[in-house]
Amino acid sequence: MENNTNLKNILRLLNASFHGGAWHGPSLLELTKGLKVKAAAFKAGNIHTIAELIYHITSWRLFALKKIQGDAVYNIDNEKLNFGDIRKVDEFELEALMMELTLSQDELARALESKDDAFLQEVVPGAEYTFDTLLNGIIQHDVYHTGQIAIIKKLAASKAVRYDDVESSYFESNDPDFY
Amino acid sequence: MHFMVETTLSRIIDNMDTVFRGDAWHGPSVMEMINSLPEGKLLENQSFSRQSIAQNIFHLTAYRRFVLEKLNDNIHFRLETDEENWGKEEDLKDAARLKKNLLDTHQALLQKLETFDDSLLSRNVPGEYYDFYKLLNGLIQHDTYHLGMIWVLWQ
Repeated sequence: MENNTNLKNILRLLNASFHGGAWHGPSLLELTKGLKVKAAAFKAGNIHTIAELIYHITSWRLFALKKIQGDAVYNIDNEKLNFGDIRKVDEFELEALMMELTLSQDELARALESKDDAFLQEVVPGAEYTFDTLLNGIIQHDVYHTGQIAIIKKLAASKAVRYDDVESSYFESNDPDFY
Repeated sequence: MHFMVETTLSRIIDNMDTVFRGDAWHGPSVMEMINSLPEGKLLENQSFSRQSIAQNIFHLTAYRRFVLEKLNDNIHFRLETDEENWGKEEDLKDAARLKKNLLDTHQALLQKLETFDDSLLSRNVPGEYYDFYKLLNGLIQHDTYHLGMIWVLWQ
């Protein structure tokens, strides 16, 4: 019988922190669904905008996908690949960013479907760590930036003339700080 | 000679400690960030957030305590009030104590976890509707979620 218990558990964690039902609090999609353009484009000091963070999260998910596909050369080694080159955030741009993000989840899940637990102990092509480290790292990376997005939304809302211009219509009755 | 056998639980413990104070894949570890923070930033209150950085640090300690209590089969333990979750004023004003409490509680949690084997992971958490696998991985993610918040509060 194929041994894929650990891989299935990691996939479950990846799905929960992305879609919902995670123990730590709101998922990435719960915090970004219904996000308004003004909040996504909000810039303060050297903090990345939420739009840039969505791009960045997707970039590293695609990095993982390339590695699962065996690409030893692929790397994210410049600012443009890491955070994009987003000159102007509008409805179209935000929709494209969200679409790429959700596609990355489907593609990751599909790429991992046929793998087993032995795969988790394989060394990532072109790196010196295992797929277990990479996949857990992707989950933690998603959640780390989800925490940033939660508080940048509050910061953006506090700077807005009209609160409801920027606050997500999703989760607005809950306080994502509280978890 | 003592051979360390890698198990699912030992990997979770390793992951927990790496995110807390190791070379974490996602970016800065909890202690890396906390140790880099200017002390003056700890208690700063930002108008847009209900919690200061110090309160977030207290919160990470509080949830380690929660897990410890659950490992001790404390079915009734819950973090219900704001004070239990985010600390009282006297819990927050001494930065060194705040950090020491977090480090000590983390250490106590790792020591406690090392007394269990993989059978712990499928056990239901006393008083909750989920298992220890979800709780322990959740705690790691909870660290990174609040670490992201701490980073923004620091800027």
